[in-house]
Amino acid sequence: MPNIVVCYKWVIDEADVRVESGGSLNLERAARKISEYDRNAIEAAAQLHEQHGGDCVAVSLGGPAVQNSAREALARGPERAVLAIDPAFENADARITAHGLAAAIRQAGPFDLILCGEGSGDQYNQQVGPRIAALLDIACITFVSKLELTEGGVRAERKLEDGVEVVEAAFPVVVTVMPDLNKPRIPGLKQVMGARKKEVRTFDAAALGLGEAQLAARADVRSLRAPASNRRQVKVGSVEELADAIAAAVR
Amino acid sequence: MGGIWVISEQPALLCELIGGGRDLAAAFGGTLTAVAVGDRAAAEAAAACGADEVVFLEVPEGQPLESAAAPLADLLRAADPDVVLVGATLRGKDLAARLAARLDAPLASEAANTRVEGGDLLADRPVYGGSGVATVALTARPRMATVPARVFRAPECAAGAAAGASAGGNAAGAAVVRTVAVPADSRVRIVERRPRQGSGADIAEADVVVAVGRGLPDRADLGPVEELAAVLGGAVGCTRPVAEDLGWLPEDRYIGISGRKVAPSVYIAVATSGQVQHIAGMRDSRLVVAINTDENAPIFREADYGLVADAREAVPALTAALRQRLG
Repeated sequence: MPNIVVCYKWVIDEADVRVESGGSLNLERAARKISEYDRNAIEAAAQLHEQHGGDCVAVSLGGPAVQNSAREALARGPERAVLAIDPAFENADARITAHGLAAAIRQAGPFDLILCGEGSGDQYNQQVGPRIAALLDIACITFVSKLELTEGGVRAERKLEDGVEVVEAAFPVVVTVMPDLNKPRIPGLKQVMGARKKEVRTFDAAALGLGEAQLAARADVRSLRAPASNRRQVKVGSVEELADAIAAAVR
Repeated sequence: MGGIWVISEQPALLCELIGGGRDLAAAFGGTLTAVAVGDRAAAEAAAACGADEVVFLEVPEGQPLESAAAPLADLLRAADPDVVLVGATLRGKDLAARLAARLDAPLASEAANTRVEGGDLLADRPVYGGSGVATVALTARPRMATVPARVFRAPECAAGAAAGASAGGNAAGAAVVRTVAVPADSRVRIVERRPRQGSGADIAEADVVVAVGRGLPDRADLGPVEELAAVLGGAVGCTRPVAEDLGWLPEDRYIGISGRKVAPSVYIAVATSGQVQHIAGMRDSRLVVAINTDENAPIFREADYGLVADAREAVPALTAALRQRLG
């Protein structure tokens, strides 16, 4: 019976990001949600757990707001949650996030399979899965669109630019998943109520053994703004005018 | 020590990184080392493109390219470079993240507009599903970034043009390729490879891309769109819903923040609304034209030329008009 860990991020809903007149972004009134691809990871964890038994723990990291995420995560199937919550984790970069999650995963107990979304809906660095694997010194399979358990490991299909690569690995292994892996369930009232009874353990950075060496930011966000469009934005009245512009550009 | 290291498994992308790495080498001082992962042709192209040193990482058969992370991290530790650029393919992004973790380094994913300021490496990258652009400062070495195709220009050289084809022998004065064998690593084994189905050319390499959105009324309307692409020698792409929800085109054709990134000479948006997630995948296109029935569609703000029209009428008419002009 595999022990499964699934990582998720409690992100700002990108649909709530407002562009101010000067081009700056206003995130103040944005709601939070479980990042989209992490929902696929949680669904995969829940399905494998339902089929094979074992432990199934959801792990997340962030500032104080992450406390509010546990019930929804647990309603989606995992049996318990381990949260790494510290003001120092607010807006953590991928490096700090991976240090914190790796430490939280060690606290969570023995693990065979660690599932992550292939990237987060806010930063979309696509780094945290492979970084966790490197920090824990275990195998890693990224960009997985099909996943099944084998005797003591996994068989996975990676969807890459040049085609599909089918790989096998023994436990323990980190797997990052693509959205086409599955269709995440929508938890019902029963699941949401059931999630209240599930265990949630919380650790701060010190309890995870993280100090200045791990927590000092090495990637600072200096500015955040709406993408600038410098297009001409000329409306033309005929196909002929479009054809002229295209023909000039391809010649 | 110091210098700039550029890493990719793709010959053309590696040459582009050499082009971009040259400017950084001038800013930081030091030499430019190119690492070709798993593909000897990429190593030869890098030598011909003027890298000062070239390393070819030979990956054992049946082992994913990312297994090169361990020996490559050792090489980087020894060289202690100022900057490491990795080609932002999916494999490249995976490899870069593993290297960054092993070196405890900051890594900017999908970086563009890289520049040096006060000893920091600054890069712009898309966030919040394309709604935002973050400028990230990498403040500790090695400063790492993954860089997509067509952000940098390959140096003018024989191999730059021929990269990907046969790079041939070394040009005079080109660096000698040093081969480093990646040790056997049985943790992840490749058991099967299924090359991409013949769904046409890779849209990321096409010089003209015609992209369709959900505003296209019917699957049958793809026929005239294919004809338009054909007359321009281009490829047909789409927005995410067209591939994932409707299934009209293979998933390797959808353009966007989580799909393919394209930067063709001409990008023709047909019945696409212009969602930020899609725009993030085509923003670097040189000329953008848009056809949409809704005059208020956001795509018109991201287009150089826009035509308010029904795709069913405009697309065949545009094909005919272009056929006339291009002979």
